[in-house]
Parts: sequence; C-alpha cells; structure tokens
Amino acid sequence: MFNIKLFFLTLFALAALACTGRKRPPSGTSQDLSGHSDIRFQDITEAAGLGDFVHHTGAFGKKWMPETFGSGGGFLDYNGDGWPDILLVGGGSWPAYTGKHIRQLWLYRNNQDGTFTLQTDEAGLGEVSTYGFGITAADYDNDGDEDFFLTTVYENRLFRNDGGVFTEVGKAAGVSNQSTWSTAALFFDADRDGWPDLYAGNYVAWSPETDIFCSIDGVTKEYCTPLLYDGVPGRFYHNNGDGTFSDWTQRAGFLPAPGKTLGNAETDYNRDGWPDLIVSSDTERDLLYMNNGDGTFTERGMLSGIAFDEYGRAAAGMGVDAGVVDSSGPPSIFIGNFSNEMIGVFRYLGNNLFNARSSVSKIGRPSLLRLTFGLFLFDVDCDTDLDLFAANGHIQPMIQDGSTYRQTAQLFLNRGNGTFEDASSAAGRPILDSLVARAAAYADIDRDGDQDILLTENGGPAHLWRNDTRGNHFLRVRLRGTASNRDGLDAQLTASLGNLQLYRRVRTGGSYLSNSEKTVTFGLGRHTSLDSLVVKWPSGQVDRLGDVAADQQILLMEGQPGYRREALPGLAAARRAANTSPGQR
Amino acid sequence: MPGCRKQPHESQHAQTSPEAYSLLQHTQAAIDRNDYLSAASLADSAARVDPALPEIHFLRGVISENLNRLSTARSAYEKVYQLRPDYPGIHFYLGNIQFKFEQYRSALAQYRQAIETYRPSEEPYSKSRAYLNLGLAYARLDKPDSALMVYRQALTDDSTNAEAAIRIATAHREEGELDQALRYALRALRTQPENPDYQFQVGALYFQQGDMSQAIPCFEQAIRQMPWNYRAQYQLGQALMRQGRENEARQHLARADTLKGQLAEIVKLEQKTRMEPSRMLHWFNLGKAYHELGDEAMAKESLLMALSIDPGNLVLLNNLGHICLRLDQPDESISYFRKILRADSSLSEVWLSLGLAYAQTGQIPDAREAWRQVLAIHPADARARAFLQQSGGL
Repeated sequence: MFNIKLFFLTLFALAALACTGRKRPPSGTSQDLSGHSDIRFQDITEAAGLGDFVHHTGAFGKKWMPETFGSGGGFLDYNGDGWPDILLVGGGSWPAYTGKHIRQLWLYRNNQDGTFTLQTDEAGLGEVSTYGFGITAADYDNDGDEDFFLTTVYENRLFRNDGGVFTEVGKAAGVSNQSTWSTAALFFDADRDGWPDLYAGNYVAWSPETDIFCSIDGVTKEYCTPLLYDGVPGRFYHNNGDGTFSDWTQRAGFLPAPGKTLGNAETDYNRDGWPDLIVSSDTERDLLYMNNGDGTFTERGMLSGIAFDEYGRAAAGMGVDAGVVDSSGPPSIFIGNFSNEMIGVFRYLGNNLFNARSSVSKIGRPSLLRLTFGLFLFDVDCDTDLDLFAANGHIQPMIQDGSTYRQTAQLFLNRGNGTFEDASSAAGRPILDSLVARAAAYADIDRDGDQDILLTENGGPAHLWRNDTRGNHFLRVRLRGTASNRDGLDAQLTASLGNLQLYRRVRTGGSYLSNSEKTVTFGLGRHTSLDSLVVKWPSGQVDRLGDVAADQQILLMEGQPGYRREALPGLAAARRAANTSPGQR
Repeated sequence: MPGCRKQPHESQHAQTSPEAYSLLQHTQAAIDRNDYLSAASLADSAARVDPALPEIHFLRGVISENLNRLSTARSAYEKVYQLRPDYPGIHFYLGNIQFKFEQYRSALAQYRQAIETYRPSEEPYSKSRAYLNLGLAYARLDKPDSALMVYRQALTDDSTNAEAAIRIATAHREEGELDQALRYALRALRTQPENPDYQFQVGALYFQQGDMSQAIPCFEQAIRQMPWNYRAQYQLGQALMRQGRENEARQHLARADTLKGQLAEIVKLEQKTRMEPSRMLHWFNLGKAYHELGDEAMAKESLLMALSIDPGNLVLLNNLGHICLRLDQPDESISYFRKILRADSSLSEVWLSLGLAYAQTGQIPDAREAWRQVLAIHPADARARAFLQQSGGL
C-alpha cells in the first residue's frame, strides 16, 4: 500500500515554500503552526468560459423592487464526477410588460481543466421560465445525485436530478404551492430522520399590482424600502422520504415570523446535536430558531440577542453565516447589512445568549459604509481559522456621497484572537474590483485543496476567482451518509491539531441566494497531519479517525472504518505554479 | 441635524425699510410659533416691498427647510448667497441643506467656508457647531480620522458641546475602542444629565463592556424619558437577560417588538407625507401614530405640519393643545386653546383644558375663570366643579 505519510513528508518542503510569515498571534497553540500566507486570487471568469453569462434584472423604468435583488448562484456537482459545477440564476423579465424572455438557468459543467461548458439545455433546464433568485442544492431524495431548489418571485421550483438530467417536480413534491416572493432557502435535516427538509425564506407581499410609488422628491420613482411592505413568513417543508414534502411551517414552530428574509444559515449553536437555524431579515428582527430536539423550533432571536445590532437597531439583514472562528468553541454569527450599518457579529456566550461585537471584532468600522449581500466564512489561507468574505454592492445607482453603487469586496482575515483584519487592500485585485455584488459562494473548482470564489452581480456578469494563496496544508473531507442523509448535512466535524480544535459543519444555505460546496476544508497551517478527526453524524453515529495526513481529500462513509482517498489533480499543478514567481502566473 | 435659531440679520436693519423690517419681524415670529403658512405669506408681503432683501430669501429658506421642501430651501439660500455672499450663516445653512441632500462633499465645502469666514459677533451659530457638522460630513464620507479630529476641535472650542463629545464617543465605539468611547459618552452625559439619548449610549457602552449593573439604570432612565424607543427597551431586556432576570427581560423585549411594529406603521405614514406633503390628513395621521406610540414630541411636530396646511383647523389645535400639556409646555397649550375659543367659545371641553393649562402654569385665577366658563355652558359638569373646588374657586 502507498505510504501517504511518507509521501507527504517528502513534499513538505514544496508545500511550505510560499509561506511569508504574516503577523498574527498563534491560534491557541503553544507552538505557532498556524502558518500565514499572502492572499492571492486570480480572476479566471473569461478563461473558464463563464464570460457569456449576464444577469438580467428585467428593469424597464418602473423600478420594481425585485430588480435590485440579483442574482443567485453557486456550486453543485450535478453529474457526480466530484468536480464542482456552476449554476447561475439568470434573473428575470416581466414578459407581460416587455414581451422579453431570458434564459433563467445557466448550468456550467466543470471540464476538470479550469474551464466550464454551458450544459443548461442538455441537463433539461433550458425551458425554465420564471423570475428567479436563489438556489440551494442537496440530494433530498438520497438517490446519489444533487438536486436543487430555486426561489422565485412566483412559485418556487424543485429540480430533481436523475443522472445529470433535471426534472421540475415542485408541485408534485408539495413545495411550489404558493405564489410568494421567496429569497434564501436551505436544506437541512431538522428532525434527523435521514431526509433533508427544506426551509424557504420569503420576502414581502409584492406584485406589479401592489407596487408602491416611492420617491425622494415626489416625482422620480426610486426603489422602495421594504419597510413599506408587509413581510411574508418563510415556509418549512418536512421531507416525507418519498419524494414529497409536507408544509409543517406552523407545526414546526416557524410562525409567526416577520418575513423579509434575505439569508439563512444552519448551525448548532448550543451544541445539543440538533441543527438550529438563523434567519436574517431585512429591516426586521433577525431570527434564531432553536431546535427543540425533535425537529420543532422555538424562535429566540430577541431573547438571545441576535435580533438587532449592537446598538439595538433592526438592520437590513442580508447574507448570513455562522461558524467557530476561534479555538474556544462557541460559534459566531455574521450578518451582512446595509450601508451605514456594520456587518453584524454575534458570539455565543452560553445559556442561549449571544454578545454583539461588530465593532470590537474590527469588522464593524470597515464594513460601515458598505452594503453587504453575500457573506461567508472560509479559511482562505488554510491557516486553521475561518476568515470572512463579504460581497458588496449598492441597490441604487444614484446614491449619496461617500457610498458608491459599485463596491469592492472585503476579506477579513481572522487574527485568531477574536478580531479580524481587513486584508482587502493587501489582497489586491480582483478583491479590489468594484462590483454590484450579490451572491457569493465557495468551492474548490480546480481541486487543488483551497476554496475558490464565485460572485454574481445584479444586472451584470458572474465572476470566478481562483484562490492562488499558497503555503499551508489542508485536509478536505467529503461525507456520505447511510443512516443519515446521504450528503451528511448537519454532520459536525471536529479536527484536533495539538491544542487546537477545528469545528466545521456540512451545510447548505449561508451567504445570500448562494450554494457553496458541502466538502469541508480544514486549513492546517504548518501541520502536516491531523491528530484526530471526529464526525458526529445526524443519525447519532460517531466516527473517529486518528492521525490523518494533510494535503488530501478524503471520503468518509458513515459507520465505516477508515476513509477513501480522492484524487486532487489540481494540487500538483498548484505546486508547480508556486515554484514560479507571481508575475509568471 | 440640530441647528440654531435662524433670524434676520440685525446689521442689515439700517438699510431695510421700516415696513419691510416690520414684515420680516412678523415673519420670524410666525416661524417661531411654527405657523409656516402665515410666515410664507408675510415673507411674500415683505418681498413686494423690497424684493432684493436677502433676509426675505433667507427666511423663505428657513420656512421651506422646516416644511421639508429642501429644493426650495436650497434655492432660497442660494439666492441669499447670490445677493450677499457674506450673509451671516449662509455657508452653514447651505451646508446643512447639502447634508440633507446627502451631498456630503458639498456640505463639507460649505462648512469649511463657514469656519474660515466665521465672525463671532455676527454668526447665528457657534463655531463649535460648525466643526461638529463638518465632522458629521466627514463621517458620512468614510473619513473617520478627519471626523474625529474636527469633533475634538468642536469640543475644544466649546467644552460644553455635549453632542461633540457623544460623536467622539461614537467614533471610538465604531473602532471598538470602548474605554475611550465610554469616557466621552460620560462627558456628554455630565454636560446634559437628562438627555435620554446620552443615557442610552452610556448604557450601551457599559453593556458592551459587560457591566450590566451600570448599564441597567442607564437604560431605565432613558426609557423613562422615551418609553417609545424600542432600542432602549431591547437593550434593557438584553441586560436583564444577562443578569438572569428573564421574566422582566421578556416584558421589555415584548415591548420592543411591539414598538418596532408600530414604528413600521409610522414609516408607511411618513412615506405618504413625502409623496403628498400638502395633504393635511397624512400629517394628522402621522401625528396620531406618534401619539399612540408615546412620542409626543414627534406627534407635535407632525401636527404642526398639518396645522401649517390648515391653520384654522380646530381639531388640530385641540390635539396640539393637549400634546403640549403632556410635553409640559402649558404656555403653548394656552395659545392653542385660546385660538379655538376665539373661533367657538361654546366648547366646554376646551375651556376645561384651558383651565388645566393655566393651572399647570400656576395661573390659578385664570384657571378658575376657565372652569367657570365650563359651568356656564354645562352647570352640572362634575370635573369643572371638582377642579374649582380643589383650587379654592368654589
């Protein structure tokens, strides 16, 4: 048998060659093995073949509210080849008013060589017609391929995947029975019965007929604030395990709710083994649905302290993510907000309480004048701790001095001590490209071990940024459930690295209208192996691996010993690239 | 933006005809009593006498600004500048208007001019105020360091400028520098101990530092003065939760949720006033909503806008009279009730209220007289009898 440890020891010098030693205190280790690297991204949109995509808002002068929301998108592996493909939502038009139709879905197959090919028609998605927003993807029927759910301004759509070809089954499955403006959705196994359930966030009661004339000067129409519309509560659909869902919104405790949802994220904030849900709401209180331990929920946003910002204001609540950003264990929640509102940062204190700490985390001030839609945690530099990426862009082209329509993204590097550093300027382009960004998702598109970024713009192109940050070790873990849902959704992974404990969860949702990969990435810094990896499956099964070597992707099957190693063909290429100077790349 | 009272410039009086000067004084008086419709008519009359007087355009700017007709206000101030570039305060007011238009760079330029050309004996605003507004514009332009510097200058110029201190506190708080933020917030609170906003901000900083025993009384004080403020209710609820006082906390959090819902309705009403600012009913409904929320100051402001559209509306006058009573402004109440009674002296309820307003000012004989008027209309009115008895009038 091939000796993986020996192999990686010989490669260690190569893998560590680009380390540059950024400032930062150690992350809970007596010996600093966290490793710090210069952040580099390369915009590969055109080269990858995504240059023909443009999101359409359908705007024709009436300034209807949905036109500012963009442009969902993300990653899914629709053909099951292990390489993340890309699905983009084309937006919409108002055919009754303009007579125009646009391509609604854009599915790009990953060619495994850094390029993508449009496969919408071949995958059975060419005829979809609606006004779409967000996507969430999971194998809801546990048949081995990734399905997806599309939120729209009308009835939502559920696309069942049968071997790489999709069939729209929303009505038959019982999740497309309402014509409601939906936004962010996610799959999670609320009752841990092995079948992913679905939560679909709704926004406001809007239609062309109920559109309100909003104006600053009383003459010129502007896009309205959601404050003028009534919110619509989200819906929770219980997976019946037979391809259908039941609307358990009331039964599971999701009512009443203010609606105006723009983001949701799964977490298990109180570590009771049951998935909880965070729902961000535009100008309304943000919600924390605590799982009662039986798949029903109690809403505790107000009681827990995440409902409003650190000065008690209801903020715009857009993209959201949650994760453990320090080695102490409790999770933190991050919520993108409007300009003149900081990104919300809430750290779990225990006893069902959170502390708001936007400003003291040092994320607040740099984010104050930005309008953040997409937002997610990932370990950009594989230095062991989760960093924060924020995709920004305003909703009105004509806005006040001091804020712009097109805005740069922001990358906040985790200092490991509860504070973050705005590393956007140091990272340079394309982070500093001004965009009207909306969705933001991550996946390792070139299978080199780090996570790349997909962004969409409202009324504009998509962007694919390849992560070329080098120098640290990593481990990528893919799960396959057997008693649990097949994707391993809601499984908790704990990696031990000396004193460090790294927590990750397999999830959908997070960010804004986006779908990121479900494969978990552990940045290992200078560590060349994990001491142990413990997986707590939603079924209750606990699997443990000892001494796992770094710089590989592994597949863990629930309840089975060991793991299967999966090829990372991009890693060798990345290492070759690391041997050349940046200018040569 | 808080500003200063705007008055026709004294030094110009010598060059102004007595008739125009008198009209200008009457215009100013109408502005002072929030009677913008009369003020506008008086300004128009003054313009007929002497159209080139910058004071007239200045007061027109003030009237329009108060009526939230910002484009008209800006044009009026620009006309003042055109007629007399050194008109006292003109850069400051142009800066304020640009700020309201969210044109912060233009506002910045105007405030700088206001500071550079400042003449202490002539300007109707303080230099410290101009520095403060300059800082606010810098902050909106994402220049926190510059903002902080000029806030400090504002405080150096006037050590009692509590708003400058609280802005410095905010700037430090945004940077996560809580100790410094608290120091300046406390300084603002020492200057204005009854200011509920400062009480709230000090409480919020104690809360962020984890000092609930200090935070809770601050929030409680703030709520006593502004019970409609959902943020204060929420923060108090959070602080109580952290002290394990969950039942009390739940009450405040529920109240915060209710207030937030009421505010949402107010936003919808405000939108209507923006869309149709000349419709009295929109302003009236807004005032009613603020009153139901418990925010009497905002209710009064909205009703005054309604009154500027329909100055003789007795219902508005009556509501304003009662709101002024709640705001402990009995003199203003008296003037509203008197105005009603001049139009219709048979309204016994208004006589009763007038008596209460007089009693609140300590003018007991006048109060008794008002209550006697009630009895003259309704001899059996028990309330009037009781008041008279309590005040020794029976």
